[in-house]
Amino acid sequence: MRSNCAMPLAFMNPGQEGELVEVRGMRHLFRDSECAPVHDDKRRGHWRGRFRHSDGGHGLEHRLMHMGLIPGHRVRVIQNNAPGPIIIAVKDSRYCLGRGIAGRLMVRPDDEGHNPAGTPVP
Amino acid sequence: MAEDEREIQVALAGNPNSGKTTLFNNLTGGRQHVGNWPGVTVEKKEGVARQDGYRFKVVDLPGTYSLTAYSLEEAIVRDFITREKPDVVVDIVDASNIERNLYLTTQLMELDVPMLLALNMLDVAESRGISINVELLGELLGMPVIPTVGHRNRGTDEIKAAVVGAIRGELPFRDIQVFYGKEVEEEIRKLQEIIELQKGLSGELVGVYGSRWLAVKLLEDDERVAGELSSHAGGDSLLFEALEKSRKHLFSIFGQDIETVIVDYRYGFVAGVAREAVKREHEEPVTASDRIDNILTNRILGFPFFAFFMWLMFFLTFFLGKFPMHWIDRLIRGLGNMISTNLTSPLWLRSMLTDGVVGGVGSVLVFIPQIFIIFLCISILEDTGYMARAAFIMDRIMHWLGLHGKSFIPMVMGFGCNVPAVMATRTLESEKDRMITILVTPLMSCTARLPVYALFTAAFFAANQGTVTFSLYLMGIILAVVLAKVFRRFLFPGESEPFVMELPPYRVPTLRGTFIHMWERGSLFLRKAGTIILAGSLVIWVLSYFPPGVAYGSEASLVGKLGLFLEPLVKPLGFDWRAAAALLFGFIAKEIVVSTYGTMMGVGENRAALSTSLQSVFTPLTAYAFMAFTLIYTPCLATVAVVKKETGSWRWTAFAVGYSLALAWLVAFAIYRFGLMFGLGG
Repeated sequence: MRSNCAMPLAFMNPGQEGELVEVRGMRHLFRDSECAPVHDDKRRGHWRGRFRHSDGGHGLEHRLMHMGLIPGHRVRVIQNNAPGPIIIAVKDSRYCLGRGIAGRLMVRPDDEGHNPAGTPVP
Repeated sequence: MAEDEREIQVALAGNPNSGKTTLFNNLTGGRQHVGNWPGVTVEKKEGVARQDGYRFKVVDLPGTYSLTAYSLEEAIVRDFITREKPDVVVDIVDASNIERNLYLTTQLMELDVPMLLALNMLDVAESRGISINVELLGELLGMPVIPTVGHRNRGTDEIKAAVVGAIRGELPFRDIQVFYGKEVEEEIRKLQEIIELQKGLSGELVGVYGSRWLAVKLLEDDERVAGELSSHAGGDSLLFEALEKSRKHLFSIFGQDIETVIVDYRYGFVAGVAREAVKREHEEPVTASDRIDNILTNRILGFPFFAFFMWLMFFLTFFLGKFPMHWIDRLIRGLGNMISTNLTSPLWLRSMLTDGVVGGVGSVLVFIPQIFIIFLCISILEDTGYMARAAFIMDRIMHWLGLHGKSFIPMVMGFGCNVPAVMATRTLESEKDRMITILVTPLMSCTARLPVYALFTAAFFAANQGTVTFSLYLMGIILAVVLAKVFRRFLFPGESEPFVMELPPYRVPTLRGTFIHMWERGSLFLRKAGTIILAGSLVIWVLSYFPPGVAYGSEASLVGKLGLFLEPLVKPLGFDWRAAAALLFGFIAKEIVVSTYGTMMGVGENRAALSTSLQSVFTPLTAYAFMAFTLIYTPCLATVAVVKKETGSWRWTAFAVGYSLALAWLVAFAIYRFGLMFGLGG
């Protein structure tokens, strides 16, 4: 299913919603077009594959988690000032993310999104 | 203080933007002592509250999301709680963002101190359809929960009463800990055993932190705890061998690093609590704040709104500031006249009071209204939550400079005063970003430079005072931008840090909170006028009056000789010896540039007379070059001190001073020479 592929947050439109999947290292950015191997096992403590360990992403993903950006949580895009920063809502918090992070935070968008996944937004 | 009062220490902890400061102000009545945490420049606020014969020493801990060792603030919070052992920790939780806030609570609970939970901003939560069962929440967390609405000062007395109750052991506490699952708990237990066994080796650490906390932190790969333990354990590596084994074992079970697993369990605990005690009408409501963001951070409208707010800030400062300025001016002039008519002898004392004190300090005091208005505006920008949006809007431009939007916040604060602005760079995670921001922030034209502009524009550009002043502000911004780019390219090459920032919801600031905020900063100026500027003015008066017998403030006086000595340095810029002397003393504080003129020319009590005498030594062109020089050159003494403290390096401090001096000279030279070329010499 194409629409269930994870895509970088940076490509999502304002109003679009989805589920936070993972933080990717720089290396993976924009490279693989097929779905990331994401497990759907949501039992507690079984997050195998949720986070990929790659360069650069490690300290950042922990920092984001402590701030409340947790894989599995729902995310809504409030503002996307491409090619600038992005504002998102996760639970009751609002975050401003720079382009760099927005390109590395992978989100699985909801099916009914107006913008099918994988289509970059200008 | 009453004799039988018992002193207890109360620490306030919580997330950033949880309303901690408001609650602190409510508890302490806004009277506070602002200092620094030992050895670091993070602000430490302390105040006093009283209840039932107890005197609370209230400490406002820095706002944090977590208690890792990654950031200075978080380390401060946990060191304070574990080492100082406050009698009660009040954890302030934003009820409208309860789950994220409770994450910190779970970590505070692990520190094993008496805790209260202040459930703040309940009104906002209710307006968003979030209802919280306060009693159940308290039961689930094992601590008293007190509902509060900080900005309406509700719940303050209840907190005080609960603190006393906790001290007297009247409140129900239950030791509740996050359960990290069978596998992790097993490894925690193993590590705990070794730590307890080696108690002799780890010594006081177990007493300070408790073995469970140490074990959890070790699994979380907390570098500071690991470092402390290994330095205590000496050569013995039994613990670290066991730790390595545990981590490997857990990794084989979970397939990911253990820190992530632990964070996940904490959130799991929080989610469990929230499921029981929190009911929501809408799962993910689009809040009023989001709707405002649709407009104010809009990709097309965002920037015009931002520019408008900036314009409004300066408009209010200059327009509204004019009226009280007028009154103060008249008051000071009246004071000067009174002294000179009533005090006829000795002559030197009369001269000292009218020329030195009234002339020097008075010429600066006139600007107090403008200084307070600009601080008020900056406080409003911060307290409404707009400042964070400004960082978002400016991120694209800042990105081009190799910085990100967060660096913009200290720069805006720099319009008020460079000292808190340089301190505000603390929020930047990257050392390089911080250094660049610290170096360029002094170019933001602070309020201390206003008196200089006001004096000179009134004397030389009376027709378009506003435009000329604006051009100087703009010059500062442009230079900051250009230099940030240069510094990034040549001194601190590399990518800027990832940019993450929480956006607080928009709030209507309370009058009280905003005024306290403004007063905290603005009062520094009053103090400065009473101390540094007064002392500086007196020194200049002495230098102008002596040696005895010379004409006051003439070339033959000490200040004249000093100025003449330095004159060759500024001659190419079209400045005379007086300008050289004024700029020299202006290094102490930029307002002193004006004081020096006021004192030297001995016309301090009369601003119109000062203008006339200035016209005899400056042309409009040199006046403009002089203002540009004042804007750019060497940050004032207080800023230099804070730059030294923040960079921790004399070399960079010297660089900040040196580059700005060179730049000021070059810019003033260019203005003067090009001006002459185009026949603006006048």
